[in-house]
Amino acid sequence: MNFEQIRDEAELACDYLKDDDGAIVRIGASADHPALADVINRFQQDIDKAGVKAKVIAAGSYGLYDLEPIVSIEKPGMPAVLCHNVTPEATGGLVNGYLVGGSEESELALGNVDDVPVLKLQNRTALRNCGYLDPENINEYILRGNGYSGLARALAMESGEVIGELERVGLRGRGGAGYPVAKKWQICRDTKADEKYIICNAVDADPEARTARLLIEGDPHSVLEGMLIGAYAVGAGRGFVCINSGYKAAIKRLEKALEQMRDYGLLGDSVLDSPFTFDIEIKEIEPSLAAGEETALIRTIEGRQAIPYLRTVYPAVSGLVGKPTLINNVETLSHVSAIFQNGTDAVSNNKVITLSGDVAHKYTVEVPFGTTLRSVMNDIGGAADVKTVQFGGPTGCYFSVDSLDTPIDYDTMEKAGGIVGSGTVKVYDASHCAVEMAKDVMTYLQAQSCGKCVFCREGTYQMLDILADISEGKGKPDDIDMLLELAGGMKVGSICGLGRTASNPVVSSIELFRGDYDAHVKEKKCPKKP
Amino acid sequence: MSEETVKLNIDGRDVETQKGKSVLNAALDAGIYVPHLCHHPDLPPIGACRLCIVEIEGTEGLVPSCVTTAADGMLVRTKSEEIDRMRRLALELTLAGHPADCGSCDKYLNCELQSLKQYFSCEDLHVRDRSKLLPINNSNPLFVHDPNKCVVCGRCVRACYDLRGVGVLFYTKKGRETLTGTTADLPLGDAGCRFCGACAEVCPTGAIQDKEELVKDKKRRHALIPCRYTCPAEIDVPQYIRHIREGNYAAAAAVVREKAPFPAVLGYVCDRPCEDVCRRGEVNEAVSIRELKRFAAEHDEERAWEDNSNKREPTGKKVAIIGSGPSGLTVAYYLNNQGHAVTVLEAMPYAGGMMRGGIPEYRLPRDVLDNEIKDIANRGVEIKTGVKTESVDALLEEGYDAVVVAVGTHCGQKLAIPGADNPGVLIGVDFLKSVNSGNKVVIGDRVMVLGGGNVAFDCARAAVRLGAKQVQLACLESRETMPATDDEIRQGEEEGISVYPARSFTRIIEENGRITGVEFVEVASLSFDEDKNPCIETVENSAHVLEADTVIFAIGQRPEIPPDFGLDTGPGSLIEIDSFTLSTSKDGVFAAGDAVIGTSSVIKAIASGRKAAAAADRYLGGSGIIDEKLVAVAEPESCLGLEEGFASLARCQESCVSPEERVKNFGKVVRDMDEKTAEGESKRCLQCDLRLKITSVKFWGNY
Repeated sequence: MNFEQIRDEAELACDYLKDDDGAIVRIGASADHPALADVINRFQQDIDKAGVKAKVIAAGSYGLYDLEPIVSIEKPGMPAVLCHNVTPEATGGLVNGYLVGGSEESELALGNVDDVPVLKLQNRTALRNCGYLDPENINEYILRGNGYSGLARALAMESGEVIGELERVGLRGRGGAGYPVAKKWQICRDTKADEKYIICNAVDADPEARTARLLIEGDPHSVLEGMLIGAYAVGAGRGFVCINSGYKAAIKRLEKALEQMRDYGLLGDSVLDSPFTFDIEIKEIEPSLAAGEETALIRTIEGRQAIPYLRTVYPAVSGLVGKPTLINNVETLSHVSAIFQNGTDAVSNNKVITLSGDVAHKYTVEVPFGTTLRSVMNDIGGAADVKTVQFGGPTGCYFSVDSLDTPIDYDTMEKAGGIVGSGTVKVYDASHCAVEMAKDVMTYLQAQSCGKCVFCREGTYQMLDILADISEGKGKPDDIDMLLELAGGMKVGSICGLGRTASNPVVSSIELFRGDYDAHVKEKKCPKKP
Repeated sequence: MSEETVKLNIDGRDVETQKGKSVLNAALDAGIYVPHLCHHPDLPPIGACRLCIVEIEGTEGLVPSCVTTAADGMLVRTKSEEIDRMRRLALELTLAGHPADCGSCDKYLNCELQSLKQYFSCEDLHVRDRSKLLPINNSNPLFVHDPNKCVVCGRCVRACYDLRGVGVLFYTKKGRETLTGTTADLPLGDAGCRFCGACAEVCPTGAIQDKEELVKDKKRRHALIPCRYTCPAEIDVPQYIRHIREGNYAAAAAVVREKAPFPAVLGYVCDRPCEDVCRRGEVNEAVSIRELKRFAAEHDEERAWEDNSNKREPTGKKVAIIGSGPSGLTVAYYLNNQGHAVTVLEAMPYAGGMMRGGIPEYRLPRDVLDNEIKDIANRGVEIKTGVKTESVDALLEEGYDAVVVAVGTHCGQKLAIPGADNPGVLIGVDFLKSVNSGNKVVIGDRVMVLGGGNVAFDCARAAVRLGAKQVQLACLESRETMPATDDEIRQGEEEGISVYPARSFTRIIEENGRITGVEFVEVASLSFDEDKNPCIETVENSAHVLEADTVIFAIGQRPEIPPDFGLDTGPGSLIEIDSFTLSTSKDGVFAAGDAVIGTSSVIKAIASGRKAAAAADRYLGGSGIIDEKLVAVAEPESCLGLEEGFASLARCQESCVSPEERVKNFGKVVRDMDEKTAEGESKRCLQCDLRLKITSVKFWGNY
């Protein structure tokens, strides 16, 4: 089927979207929200009782977890109105009050979708459709999300031109290192081989990150469309989506999405009636920090132990079973589809981040580059009495209260000696001691080290021993020097990113909070414990 | 690998290497030592140990040279202060969890980590050291894993997966410690291990080693490929089993023939010392090596060996060989190959020695023996039967340039106990000769065979077939130490023979000139002195009588050497030979087989024959090199692959005709293996020989 035909079919299937006299009620929440099913049922019941013409649709999560279920009510001809924390008991009031009555007054109201502050602070490109449409209905994506128009546009170009478009936009990979996407695609395209692969890294390796979960649960097609465009550009015939094995709902939605794509001929031979042939498999990954590394994903797909290996050439040149393999982060691919849907004038300069730690709102949001850590922490997270913020995941650096005006951006982060990584903003309030923080994170990192290379394996082990001693008041001044020496070795002598960055928290905590360390070492007591 | 070369400079030296090689390999090949641990010449590099780091002009930082491909014009520096500092830190961290005492380890002086410690003069660590306190795993067959010594170099993981294609070893964690092991700590056999030993071979420390009792005090080849090096003739067992597995039976038979001219005979009667030491036996049961050999020999249709056998130019020398048993015919075969004119002089009316006169037909079918003797005769060896030689000097005067005495031990012994001269007392070897010649032999109803070896059982089982109603066998040795092979004992008992071990025979009881029984006392302990005389300790008041009307002595044999031979003999009347020249006391006269080594086995006789042939050839002006290549050598495939249930593949059941049927005649007892069984059995082989093909790592001191 070509794109026009698909659109026609979609329109037939979703006639409610064109309805002039019907309302649409969308209930947005994480798939495992305990009240989700009840809220949906109650709305349906109340609407039937009220005799109003309205369609009830389950949508994905907005990433604003403590406001869920977020209900969007769209009356014909009017902007959608959002309500938060809608319980099954409240559905009646909303139906009768707003749908029937027309009164926007409700203590649950958030306001017009365009006016909600926490949404206005964001610049949702990757997350553009999350909460906005039904992830289990490809037709909504096509009609409401401009879906697969990007693919149609790309397939009409020369595959080399596709890369040119990305180059003009200057898209950088969102996987953590910020590598220019066009450059990676070009390398893969230029490598001659009889088979090429594309891997979508949808593994939230950082346990606090929720990017992959949000995207795959809420809008899998934006990622899959990006995959198709990438595969076309480099000449790949098979793709893999690697995702946390624990994300059961996301995997189900992914399977459904792939099924629906196949029904429309968006996968298989002659995608969109073009000579392009492509299909996608799902690979469930036991999530761990090491397992989320590119080279470890390759190993898992090859059926081998999920451990990174030292790559001497880019996977784009030689990856999965030695063939050119394009590996892109799930967030990156969502940007790709957005770029091709909306034209390259729409520049995608924003990052998905998740707040965690001592904050009121542990949201997953997408903020423009340049947003400061302070703004994220205060305006979105609602933090108070902050000691420090760790940015980028468990191997990210700590930022002192004074340096929280550091803008979130690949270049500034690199200059500051930090990483963008998973984009997690972990806030620690003043009740924490830096030594305990470092010990806790190093306990985690030592357990996560796969053990293959000596500096990471022994470095994390020794660091943990030293930090434990310092924490218990058995530390010596030499120990700090030892920590820094070990960090030096780990930084230059590790096989993968985990090893290279695992010393960041320790080193930055020593730099920022020498006082806490000195208290433990010299005075043999913890400054935070009376 | 392309023939293109790249030129680079390492530490000021111009080095040339093949395109595609790593900087580390380029350096090591050029004799420049760069420390390394996780690198192994046969395994893909992983850059884990960080000892081989170098500086490369134009590249930032220190890069592991094992994973860096050498490029034209590269400028490499392998030593600098920074490099040394980093290497030291890496080594110290590697040593941090490793036991500090080298002296108490089995790998002492053979350990790559120890060598590195010496290279770096690294004794005191400035990083924290610890004991990993991990349990040593002794529970697997063949190998011991001591994870406390593991340096997580990953060589075993790569050897198992990349080299052997099996992949049962992974990086695992126990608590905070990293080590290598099977998934879920499964026993190796359950995990699919092929027990090939590659992991132990590549392990740089004492973390994975062979079990001490299997290798202690043995030469390496002997310990690691015990089948081949326990075989008196050193037949390449793993190789012929490999050929059988690949369906190439002619090649398998040829491999056997490279060391022994009687593959089928051995396939029937060899006492298989190889199977007793087969490493597969540590896993479950030994490979049925003899049966496989028999299968190959009996399915050798192409006879590929024949055209490849040595056939040197005639030397004009003549050799006489006295005796056509396995040793004599082996000497004949090889000397004939070397180009000498060989005449075998056999006293009996048949050729084959004990193979025909001693071993009954039900164990070794006549036609099998005759065909293999014909294989030798057809190559130009003259065999004269019915010719008794009384003097070797006469032979030499006749014009023979050398003589080889291979007369065997055909003189059976009797114990001089009361009653031993009764006509009902038979000498085992004479009895067998008679039976095997097809003569009508008369024995009584209750036969008592005295002796515990294969000859005794041959006598007993022949007696059963001759119709004796009751056949008993008594010997000095205990059941565990009886020299007869297990299958002979088992088959004999199945045929109804009552076995009485640990008895000393004191008296043969006669009544009216006829034997009525034998008196025994029980043996408490038995040992042998240097002259091989038994020292027996008997149990007090244990005398008892077992009824019999016929007694057959099978307690030992000596060579029957005509006095005119004039050769020096030693204990047991065995011919003495010089340990270097292998010559007898007479110049130009050599000896081989049982006459030299005492009654033993066909394979030992063959091995002895090979040695004598080489010695005689040297004496006659030849090279003494009798080795031949009968089949093209192909490098065995190093990739074994994962075979589910490999460790539990059971040994094929040896199939025999039922005891009830087989005692009725002298027909062949053993049933033939079919092709599928042969393939299955050959698949059980651990292929221990692959291990010695793994490149040895050169230690620092050898650069």
